[in-house]
Amino acid sequence: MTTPRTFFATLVAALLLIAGVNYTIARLAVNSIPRQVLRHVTQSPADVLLLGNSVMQAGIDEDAFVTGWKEHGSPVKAVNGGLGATGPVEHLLLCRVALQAQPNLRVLVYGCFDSMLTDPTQEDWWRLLGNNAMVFYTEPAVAARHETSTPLGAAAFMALGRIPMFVERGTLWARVERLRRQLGGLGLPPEAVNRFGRVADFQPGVAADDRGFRERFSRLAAERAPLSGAITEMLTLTHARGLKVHVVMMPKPPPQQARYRSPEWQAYVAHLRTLLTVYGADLIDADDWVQEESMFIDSQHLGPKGATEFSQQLGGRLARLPTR
Amino acid sequence: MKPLLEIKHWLEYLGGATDQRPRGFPRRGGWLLVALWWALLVCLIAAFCGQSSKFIYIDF
Repeated sequence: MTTPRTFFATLVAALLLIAGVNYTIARLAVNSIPRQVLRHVTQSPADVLLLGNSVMQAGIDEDAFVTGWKEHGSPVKAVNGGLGATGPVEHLLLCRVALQAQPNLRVLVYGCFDSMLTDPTQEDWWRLLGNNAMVFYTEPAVAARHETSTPLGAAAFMALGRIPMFVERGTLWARVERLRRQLGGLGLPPEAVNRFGRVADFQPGVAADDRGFRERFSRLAAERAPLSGAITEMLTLTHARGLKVHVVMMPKPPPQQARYRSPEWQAYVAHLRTLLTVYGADLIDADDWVQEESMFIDSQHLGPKGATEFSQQLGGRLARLPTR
Repeated sequence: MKPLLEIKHWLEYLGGATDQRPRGFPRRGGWLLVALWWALLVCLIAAFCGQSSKFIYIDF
């Protein structure tokens, strides 16, 4: 017969065991990729901070960027804070911690693509995991402002952000997913993979039809879509600190470049340039800077050789631009 | 059939479907075994529930 006493003893013991698991997960996650990037952007002295998602992470070679810059300007130190599978809120947080730790920063290079600057933040923060989960432990109060819209949502965001089993569940899921893929692939020919996983996973986003692409950007330009809240805050912050901001539309593989020459895309870029002028930021449209498809490892990311060439070219180009 | 019935009895007891302690279940400290069982289930659910999401960013 279960008595109230044994029931509560069982409950407390189960909760203690789960707390122990949480502690273990927190310890295992001290070297997670976002934490490594956070350490990199705060501990590597730099004048130039580069931020963005995986296109920036893969597309920038720090040494090549610095070499390119040095060829046309005074020597600089650069730090690449590109972090895969992240969005403007995570980039804002990285920017904030870098600005706090790095007194000599004078340039921010923000790599993006498509409508990343004007996409509103999705308010489904409970779905954030993997690298996105850094919003729960890097200035969570700032992240909550962008990820939630009600005080209750913000309170839930702050509370759940303290539970490692929730915040770091992506680490667990990644291990399970790897095992599942391994078992699912038994007896089948190997799938094409690169540093970001299965190449095929990155096809759907860019396989959208040209007409849909043109309609979308035509609408965004016509509606004068505003910059997202996180982007606005990042630009306001960097402008106040006297940093020069260069927004870079990252290179696309040659088969996709035609759509970025369309009048609809050009109208959207012109609209973005107007928005960025308020913050003294400029926009560099590097969509077609890389002309060899072999320089890309999939439909979105540059490979090591492509990154070296592009970074050198970008560094040289930025060195020739005014710094204020 | 007997082993299967015993396993069923154990699972029913651990799951709270019955109060009748199964044969071989420790008389003292059995509550700790139940706590361990439920903690293990919570952890297993937490580990495997990601498969319902389109989770592809495992190498980022």
